[in-house]
Order: sequence, then structure tokens, then C-alpha cells
Amino acid sequence: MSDLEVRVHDLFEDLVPDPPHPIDVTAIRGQFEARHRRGRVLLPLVAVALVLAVVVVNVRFVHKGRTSRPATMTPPATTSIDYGGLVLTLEHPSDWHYTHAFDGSLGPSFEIGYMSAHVEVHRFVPQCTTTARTSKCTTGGPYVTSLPKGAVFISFHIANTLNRPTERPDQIVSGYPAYIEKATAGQCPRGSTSGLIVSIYAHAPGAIPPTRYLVFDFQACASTPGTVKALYAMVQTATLTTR
Amino acid sequence: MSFAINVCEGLPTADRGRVESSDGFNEFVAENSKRLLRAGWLLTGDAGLAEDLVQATLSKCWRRWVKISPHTRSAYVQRVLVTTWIAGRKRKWAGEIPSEIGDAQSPTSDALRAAELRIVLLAAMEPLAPRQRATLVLRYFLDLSEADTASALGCSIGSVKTHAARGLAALRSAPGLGLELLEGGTR
Repeated sequence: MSDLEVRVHDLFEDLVPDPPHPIDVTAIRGQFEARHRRGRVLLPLVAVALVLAVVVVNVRFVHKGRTSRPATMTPPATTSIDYGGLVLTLEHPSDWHYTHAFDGSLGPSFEIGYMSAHVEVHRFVPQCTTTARTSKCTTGGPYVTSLPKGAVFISFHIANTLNRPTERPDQIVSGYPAYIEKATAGQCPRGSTSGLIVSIYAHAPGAIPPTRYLVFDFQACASTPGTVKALYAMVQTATLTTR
Repeated sequence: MSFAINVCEGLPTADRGRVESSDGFNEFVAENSKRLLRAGWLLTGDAGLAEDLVQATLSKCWRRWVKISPHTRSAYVQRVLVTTWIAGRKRKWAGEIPSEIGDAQSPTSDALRAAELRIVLLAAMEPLAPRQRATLVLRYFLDLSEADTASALGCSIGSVKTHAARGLAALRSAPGLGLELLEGGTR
């Protein structure tokens, strides 16, 4: 090592602080078990819901034919998204369909599903290739590269972190502090005309340390002017409950 | 918007039983978590984020713990730590601010000087590209060789040399830090 490298090494050793908390091995095992429990319970339910949704859509198609009405004109439907006993219930146009898409990551923030209407969704699973010397993994990539007219795409994420989010909550959704802002063009797929980013903050029940934040975080993009009103309505009528 | 690597598929029940019984995982965590958390701090610049990062890393590794050779566990975990951090930077949630200041301590001149240098160090590392920053942490904090660093990052040794040289140059030219590196000593 050069003299500079040695000094950087010493600088790191001297300056990097000791961690405030030890790592809780029990929590790691608990995360694993919780994920498996969720998978055992949720996957069959999602499968049943998908089958029902397909049947309903086909029946409507046969009886009414294809409709070109914009998303905001359809009657309301209700979807509940469950994460570890915390349930977010949303009322939305009935041609918006929720897909459970838990990505398997156990990080502080991960996707739990997406809601879409009139758009083709491509889901990429990260792939890893390992050789004797290297290991490379691809990222998931965007699900939707562009929105055709009348389409909606909303991705839902959960963040479970020690850190308060950068955005200051300025609204209340179902009794929880929330932050809502319009999405910029760069945050939405090509063809979007409006978008909304929503974060609903809740303390994780029973979390240790108690300052952990559990946040429902979702980003909605639409390609029909006026759809943002439906998005706002969906957020305003959302309920966050525990079961 | 998810951690890119997905190294751990579910283990068969028999393997899970082996993991839960005894496999050296607890001992590994006890022996290495402090160093991993400090490396996580260097990567993320925040103790809370470092804790999240290390916990996510260990969660991923634990699920295939029994399949990892005991001789390569440390390198494996370090590789997952770095790749998890690099992938996690792509998330919207990378933009967070610490919710609380650390435990209050009586300020001494040494402590204040160290705190000041920590801020300068983080400010100097923040603009670095993720792989440059990861290279500095792997090479000069976790003391990995160039070959091991290349393996952890999935790149060539030449790339590691380039990342390290650029990272070191950035630190040396950082305001408030360059002089410290030229003079040596921090406390």
C-alpha cells in the first residue's frame, strides 16, 4: 500500500463510529419466517382473486363488448393490500386491477404489488450469474416503458426503516400522516399526463426500537387528463387498518 | 425499485432446520456485525441506514448459510453488503434524512474534531460513484485485496485500481480532508 492508502485506512479506522445497536439475529430469522408466512397465506388468496378477476372481466366482455371509456368513468371497486397485518384498502375504478408482486427482497424498502389498467406490464425478475470469480445480477428494470392513452399504472412499496423520510407529511390519510405530491414527467413512464406520489407513514407495530417507520409508499401515473382526480379520490378515501 | 440481487431462494425444510439449529450464523453475526455496521456507515453515511443495510444483507445470507463454505462466508457477506447497497441506491427511498441525532455526549475537543472530520469525510465520499465508494470501503476499511475487491464488485482488477485511484484522488482533494491525509493522523 502507498502512504496515502495507509493514511486513508487509518482515517477510516479512526473516524468510523461504533454502531449504536448490535444486530439482532432473532429479528433476521423473524423476517424470514414472516415472509414465508405471508407467502403461504397471500399467494393462494391472490391466485383466487386473479381467477375471479379474469372470470369477471371475461363475463363483462362477453355481455357488453369492449369499452373505450376512460378509466375514471368505470364504477368503483375495492382492493385491500395486506402487509404483515397492516391493511391498506383502496377504492378505485373497477378496471384498475391489483397484482401482488412481492419481489422477495428483504431490504428496508421493497415492492409489494402494482395496480394497472389498459397497459401491458412486463415483469422482470432479477437474474444473477456467478462464475468462479464474479457474480453479476441484473436489476428488475421498468415494468412499463410507456403508457397508451387511458392507461394507469401504480406501483406500491413498503419501507421499513429507522429513518424519518425526507418529505414532511402535510396531509392525513385514514388518521396517519401522509405526504402527497404530483409526480414529475421524469418519474412516470413516457406518455403519462399526470401522476401522484403518496407516502403514508405508520409506526411499525411492536417494532424495536420504537422509532422505526413503516411506510406505504406508492407512485401512480396515468395518461388521461383528469385521471389524477380519481387518484386523489382514491388516496383520500384510503383506509389503513390492522387485522 | 428493489434490491437487485436475489441470491437466496427458499431453502428446503431440512436445510432450514439445519440453519435454525446450529450453523455458526449467530457466532458470525456476533463476531462481524460491528465491522459490517461500520462498513455500512461508510457506505450509507448514516447509522440507521447502515443497520438496515446490514440487516438486509444478513437476512439474504442466512437463507443460504449452510450452502456457503465457512472459509468464504466473510467474503460472501461483504459482497452481498456492497451489491445490496449499490442496488438500494436506485430506490426513491435512498433520499432520507436521519430522524435523530445520536446519543448526546459531553463534547471534548477530540470528540468535536472527530465529529467535524466525519462530516468532512462523508461530504468527500458522497459525490463518489457507488463503485468508487464501495472500492474504498472494501480495500481500505475491510482490507480486501484487489482481487477480492474485484470479485466482490464483479469487475476486473484493473477496474478496481481505477476506482481506487479516483476515489483516493477525490479524498485527497476534498476541502478539509486533503490536509489531514497529507499530514497523517486524525486525533
